[in-house]
Amino acid sequence: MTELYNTLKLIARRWNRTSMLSACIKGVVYGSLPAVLLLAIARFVPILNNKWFAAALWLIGIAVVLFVAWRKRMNASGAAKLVDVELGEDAVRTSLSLQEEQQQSMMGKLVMEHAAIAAEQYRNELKQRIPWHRGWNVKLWMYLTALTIVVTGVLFIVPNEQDAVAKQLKEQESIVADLEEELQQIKETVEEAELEEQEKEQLTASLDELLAQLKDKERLSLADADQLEELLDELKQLEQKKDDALQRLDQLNDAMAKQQSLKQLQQSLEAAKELKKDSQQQEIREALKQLTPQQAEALEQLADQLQSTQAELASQLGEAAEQLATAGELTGESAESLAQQLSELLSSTESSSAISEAGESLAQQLSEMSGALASIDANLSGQLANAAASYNSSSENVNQGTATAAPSDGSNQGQGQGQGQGQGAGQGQGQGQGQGVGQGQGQGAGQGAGQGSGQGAGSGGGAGGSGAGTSPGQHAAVTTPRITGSESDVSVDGGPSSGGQVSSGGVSPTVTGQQGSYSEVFSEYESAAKDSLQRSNLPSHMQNKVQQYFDSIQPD
Amino acid sequence: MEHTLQIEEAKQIIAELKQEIAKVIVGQEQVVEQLLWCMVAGGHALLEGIPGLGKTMLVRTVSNAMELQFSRVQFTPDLMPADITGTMLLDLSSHTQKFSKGPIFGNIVLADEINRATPKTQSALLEAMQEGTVTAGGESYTLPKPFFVLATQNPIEQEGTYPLPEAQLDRFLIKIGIQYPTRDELKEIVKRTTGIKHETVSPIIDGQRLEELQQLAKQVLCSEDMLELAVSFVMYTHPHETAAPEVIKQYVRYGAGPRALQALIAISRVRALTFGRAHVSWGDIVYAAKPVLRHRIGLSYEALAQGIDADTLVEHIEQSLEQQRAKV
Repeated sequence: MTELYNTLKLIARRWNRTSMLSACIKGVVYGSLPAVLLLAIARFVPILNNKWFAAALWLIGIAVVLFVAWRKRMNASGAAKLVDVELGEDAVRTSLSLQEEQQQSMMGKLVMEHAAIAAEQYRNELKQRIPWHRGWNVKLWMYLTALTIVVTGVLFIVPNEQDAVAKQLKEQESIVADLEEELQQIKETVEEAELEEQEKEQLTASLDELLAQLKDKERLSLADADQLEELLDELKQLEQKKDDALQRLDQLNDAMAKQQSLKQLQQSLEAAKELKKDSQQQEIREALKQLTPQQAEALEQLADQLQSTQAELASQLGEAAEQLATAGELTGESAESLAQQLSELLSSTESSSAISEAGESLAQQLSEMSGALASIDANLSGQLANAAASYNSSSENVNQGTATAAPSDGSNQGQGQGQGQGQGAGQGQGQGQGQGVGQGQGQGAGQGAGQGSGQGAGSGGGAGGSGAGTSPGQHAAVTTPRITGSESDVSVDGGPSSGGQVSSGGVSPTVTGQQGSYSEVFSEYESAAKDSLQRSNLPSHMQNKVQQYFDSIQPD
Repeated sequence: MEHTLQIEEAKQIIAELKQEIAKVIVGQEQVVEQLLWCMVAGGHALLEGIPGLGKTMLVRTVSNAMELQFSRVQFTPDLMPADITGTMLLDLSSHTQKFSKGPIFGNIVLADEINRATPKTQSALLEAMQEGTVTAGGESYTLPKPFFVLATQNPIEQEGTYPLPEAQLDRFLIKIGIQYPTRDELKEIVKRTTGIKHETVSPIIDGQRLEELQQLAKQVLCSEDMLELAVSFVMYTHPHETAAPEVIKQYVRYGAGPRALQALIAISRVRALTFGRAHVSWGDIVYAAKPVLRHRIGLSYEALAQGIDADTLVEHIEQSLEQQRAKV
């Protein structure tokens, strides 16, 4: 019986091998069908990674066919049936089904002998009875296999234009997803930013529209994606400008906060910006009441300059300034109106262009005022100059620097920090340190890293007074500005804050100063300041400051 | 070793019987073969053929070859049961009644044209076939052994006949159909029967030997697979069987009973023995199916009208089972 089983297993093994071979051949053909179909479709419809999918389908087809063949594999019982069917005696299965006692009987032994003979006969004829091409037409399947391999190979090797299209589509999807994410982030930033509701709504609506377009992917094309990318860049730039403007505004606020005379105004304005309550407006009103006629005149000039850029608010400011100059004292309504306009102006100055132009104008006015006040109050003049230096334009030639004015005699310490683009003021007492636009009253010993348009109208005996402010001082030496109370604290110009270009070298278009005696310069400086004060509408307390300044630098 | 010789001897004996019978009977090899199978299987056979085909000669020759007592009963409509079984006769010398045995008391009984006798007479024979005894005058008389009834039927003269009921037909192990001889066979028949020389049959075996063959045949092994196939064969004759071929469902009124399966296995074993095998094969079952089932399948009127016989239906069953068997 053992020998019979071994023979049957051998027969079964032969059968299974031929079955697996047949399955391999058929699997190549069957697996190629879906692969070829996919590759053919990919010639007309862009399908990303279609070759990989086709290869996977091909392998899966082969695996499935092999698995089915493996499931149907033959065992010894199947081999017994095969022998009985082909030899027609059924001795093998009869012998396998015999029980123990039957096997021991003479009839059983005879049957087993008969079965062994039949199995051995089959084994001897195994290759003829179970050929390697059992169950399939060799020629037909070989042709089919070759055909499928050739067709599949051609579809693999010949370049497919739709592959590039598929890649592009994938890239588009990726870009769209990135844009969506960035737009969402910008939207959140806009919602958190301190903007007016109208502006917020406007920006948010634009962003929502863009998002909606992005979600509708069918309408997107490469051109749309590029356009969206450009829009995104513009949005980023606008956001950056907004951030810069806010930053400069904060710095201006900080600068104003450090100036005692302006601190109250600054706080009121900021409070009005944030809370817009009547109480803060009342404070503004109080602050405005203290404006001198010269200061009011200066505001009027500021309004004139602002008219070109912000007509409505500028005219209101002008009206308020006229009221101040003529009435001398603000009425309740006017004060409120001016406060409101200033608040609006402050809020509106969050747009970079408005603030830059207003800042420049204000700086210029302040510098004029400081020149006029040089004989009155050198300290105040220095403060105004520094306050002017705190403004910079919105784009080019931004130069952050510090400028501190330190009077040489130490009578008054003019201090200030500012970010200037060549803005400055030549300050009296020969100690003025200015940058850039120096209406050098007195000695414009400008020193600093001012750049650009140095319009140093250095009158008086100031050496230098140039925009660059590099010439050393005469007589009373003008030292490098230092922050009051600190001997070693030096702020270094860090270069442009945003955008713009930095140009160095060249010749600053400033007028070199002249040397002269201090008293002579002082008198000229003081008279010029008085003229300026008369022209400008500064509040009375500011005028007093100017006066104090000039008193402090008055020669003995 | 002893069994091996017996199997080979059995094979040899059967072969010699065929050869001996062939000296007298021209052709009809299948008829002779099936008849021998029936006798070795210990059953009764129903021979069906037109008159003059040598049915009586066949039975007589077989009985001579087996050295068995042969008796013949010609069934007629006026035949009485006592004419078959025997009757009580008055013995004048002893003034007693003696049972006079009828023709049924033979080893081989030829019941010629059994369908011509009345059912009462038929039942007397069939009862004896079933019981193996005859009761007369309150006493039972055992029939001799071996005991075979070979009944004949004429398929063309049905007028005035009493066809055997299905229950009675089921008692015959096989039904042998005798075909009309071929041209050459007719020539040979004429040569042998109309000439001066007549061939005789020498006895090959006797009754005891025949019984030993019967016992040996019962020992032939039948595997479970073969048994399954045989059962399927019988089951497929029933029209209500789901797996039965459509022709069975269309043309069969009723199928074969359990006796058919017994007969199928018995005949298959004898055939295997005839070929010197100790096991039943699929070929044995296939070859035994027609003689076993042809008189056990009730044909519908549609089958009778279309001339479809039982052998055709058996072939359909065979093809159906062959496909199942060939699935490896």
